[in-house]
Amino acid sequence: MNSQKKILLLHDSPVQACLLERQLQALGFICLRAETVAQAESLVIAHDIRLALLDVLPARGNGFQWGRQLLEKLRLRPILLTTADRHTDAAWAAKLGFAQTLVWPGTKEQLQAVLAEVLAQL
Amino acid sequence: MDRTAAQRGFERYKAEAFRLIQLGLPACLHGDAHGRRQQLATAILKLVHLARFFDQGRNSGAQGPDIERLLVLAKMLATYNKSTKSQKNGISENFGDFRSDGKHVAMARNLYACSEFFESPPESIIAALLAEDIVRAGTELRVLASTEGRNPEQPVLQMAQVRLLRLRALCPFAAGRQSVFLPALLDNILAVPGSDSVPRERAGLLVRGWFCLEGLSDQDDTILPGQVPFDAGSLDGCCRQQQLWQARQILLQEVHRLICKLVSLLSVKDEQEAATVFALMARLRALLAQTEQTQALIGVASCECALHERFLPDGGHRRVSRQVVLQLVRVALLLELEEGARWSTLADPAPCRDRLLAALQCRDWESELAHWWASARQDRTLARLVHQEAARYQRRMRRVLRPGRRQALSCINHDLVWLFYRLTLLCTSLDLAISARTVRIVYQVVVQHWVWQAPLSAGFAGNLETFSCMLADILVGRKHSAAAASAALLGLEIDVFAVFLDGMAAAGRRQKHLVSGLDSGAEPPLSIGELPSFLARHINVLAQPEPAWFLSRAALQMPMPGICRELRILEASAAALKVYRLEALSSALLEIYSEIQLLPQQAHFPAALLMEAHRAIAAMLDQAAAWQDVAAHQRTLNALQLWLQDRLTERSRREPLPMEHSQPLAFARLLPALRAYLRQLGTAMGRPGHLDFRYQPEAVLPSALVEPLTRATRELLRYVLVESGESLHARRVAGKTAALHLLLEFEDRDDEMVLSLVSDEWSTAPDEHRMQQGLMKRMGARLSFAIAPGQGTRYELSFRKVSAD
Repeated sequence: MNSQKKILLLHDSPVQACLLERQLQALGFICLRAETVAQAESLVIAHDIRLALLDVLPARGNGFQWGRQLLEKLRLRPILLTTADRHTDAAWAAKLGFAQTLVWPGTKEQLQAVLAEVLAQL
Repeated sequence: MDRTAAQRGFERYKAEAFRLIQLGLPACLHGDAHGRRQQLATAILKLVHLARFFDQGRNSGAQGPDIERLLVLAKMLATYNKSTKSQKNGISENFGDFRSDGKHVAMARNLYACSEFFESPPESIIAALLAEDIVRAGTELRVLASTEGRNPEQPVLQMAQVRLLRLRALCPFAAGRQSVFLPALLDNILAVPGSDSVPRERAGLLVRGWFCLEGLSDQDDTILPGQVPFDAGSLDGCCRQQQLWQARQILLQEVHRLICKLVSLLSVKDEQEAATVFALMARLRALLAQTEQTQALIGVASCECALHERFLPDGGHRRVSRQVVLQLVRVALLLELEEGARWSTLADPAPCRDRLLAALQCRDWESELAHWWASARQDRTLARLVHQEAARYQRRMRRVLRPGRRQALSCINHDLVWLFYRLTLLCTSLDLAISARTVRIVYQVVVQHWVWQAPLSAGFAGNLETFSCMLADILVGRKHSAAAASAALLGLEIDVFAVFLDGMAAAGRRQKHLVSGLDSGAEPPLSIGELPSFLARHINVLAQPEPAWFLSRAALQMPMPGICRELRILEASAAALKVYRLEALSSALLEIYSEIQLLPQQAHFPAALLMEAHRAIAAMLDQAAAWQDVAAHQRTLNALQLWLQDRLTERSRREPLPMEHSQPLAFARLLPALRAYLRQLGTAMGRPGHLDFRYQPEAVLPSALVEPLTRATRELLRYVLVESGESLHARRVAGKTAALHLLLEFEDRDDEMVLSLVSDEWSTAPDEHRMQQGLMKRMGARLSFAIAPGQGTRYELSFRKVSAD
């Protein structure tokens, strides 16, 4: 299976994960869900994943630190999921080497555009 | 006595004489015009008397007046009654002639009271007094502002009012433009209702007074020296504005009373008599007619139309629903907001107004949720997940805000920020537009509280709890009464209004805090609200520490300037944002880097420790960037402190401070020992300090100056750190770092060597300064001070080369 069509979704909100998964599936992606970095690591190793979506503010942890770990351990550049109110996230994520920042909830078209841009960089 | 010394003595007594006038002034201010003139005349007579006294000393051929002796005498005489018998005998032996002369005793007492030299004309002294009072008033009102609406304590209010009264009293003596408009302005501020009004109202008006003064200080450089040049156009605007204020103040008070009446109607369970509401609405309309607030006017007109349509045929005897009253309250709130913001010279109130308008539309959110819940039956998976997640948030919210904890919760913590972040996310992702907008407003309020570390009032915590639990209840499908929802929403709207007004005020007040602290000349002044974006853009090196930097000292040379620059930015910003753990680690790392620059080549390089510290800084930055509470990295901080302590102990042993030297000594040789001394002292006193240096690398001290310069510099460092300056609390209130920042500069001039110490504190300890000057003189140095209000203090030690080799 083409690893570029698999996507890791690191989010501990079941509602968000469910809604995002539906959107991703509609765009033709296979969504693999994790709630912690440890779960994400084993999924990435087992499935050769090269795309990841990561929530900025998990219940226990920190999206930026999780992103650093994904970058350092797995060389995976995640896309940061943030909200419209959080103006500084994009600048900080770019400094840490995240692939992109996505303001979510958003439209399917926005999601598609960001994913296409990141896929093109791979 | 040589000519120079005599001249110097004359200059000093002249300065002291001016000081006498200055001391006399505050006492003069409270009397009537005649009494004031008389007291001024007395002060001038004192000056003349003093001049004769010194002249007699010079003309008599005896040794001229030794001011230092006079001061010692003055000190002794001031405490004469408490002295022991032997001390009194000593005074009699040494200064018998003075003691026997009552006039001289009084004069000596005055001299002792005079502590600061002003070499400027009296007008400038008054301007300096004004500036000082404004700055002090500002500090107190800033504290007050942080407690506005949260039951400020009566003594704080009284003190703030006294400060303004004092300013008012000084106005007639102020030269120039202040006398035109400042008195009228202060009169208006002081016309705030007295002790019979509620503290919140008085606090609000006093804080508005401070905005006004701050606005004036921006426009008039004689109020706060060193500010932007005076602009006549702005002043005209300001005068017009203050004339308007008198009318607006009455209007705002009436609006506030009206709001209170309307809110009291809401607390009644039954519906209201239409006639009562009509009367209140007519009053609101009359008030609105005095303004140009079209939004509010439209709001009240719409309410009026609706009421007329429904009730006029009955002559106003039918009952009105709470919703109409609620709408009127909102319109009145909007009016108060617009008018208050318009007067207070704050930034554009539009963002605040938009938020309030958004809140006005929020009353439909319950029906929106009910509708969503009905339609969600078709998507059982999602409905189940929403139910589970909302129940989880509900439990967590109750845990965070339960009454027992709420009282202990002094400010918003990360848990609450996270919960509202998730609630907003939940509503937005479910396309609940109205609910999402409502929750977002609350989320923004919570975030603003968190960013400014503003205290959380019990009322606000209660509203948060009611609102969030109600939302979570509705999300999990339970019913809630519309009355409770409206009441909570109304409470929240008021809090939104108060917090955003506070927020805008805070941003305005803190506008100039970080100009010097950020150490980035190209950057404009920043407010607290702008700091997170500034940091996200400007912290680059610290975001991604590289192990390669710490392989050796040589490898560190390249990135070190950037690291230190960013650490300085981070230390100042973290202090302003009250992220004290990050500030402490940045501060310790800065000190380590200062030490590393002085490390001998063969010394151990702490590579692992530096890497560990930088990783901790990066982790803290990640937490701050995600708007989380920053974790303490105490072990790393302790390790840094221990390394520093070891280094200093070792250096004190190997390189003691040179006290006697037979050869000229490179100035650079002094620096490690001075820094070690400062650290030792700072640790002992619990008052940390950073010492940086600026000097020509080839600077050399003549051997004869090594001992006096070293002694005097040590003494000055001790004095600045221990006896002078601001308390930690005052530094925190001013948004400064905990560590005192000092810069030591050395300059070799033609006939003297000058050592300047620049402190980031505005020191106002004239008595101590005076004593310190005497002490320095005995050490062979001349000490002078220059104070730049709001910026810092410059101490200058001069050593004459005549006596050097």
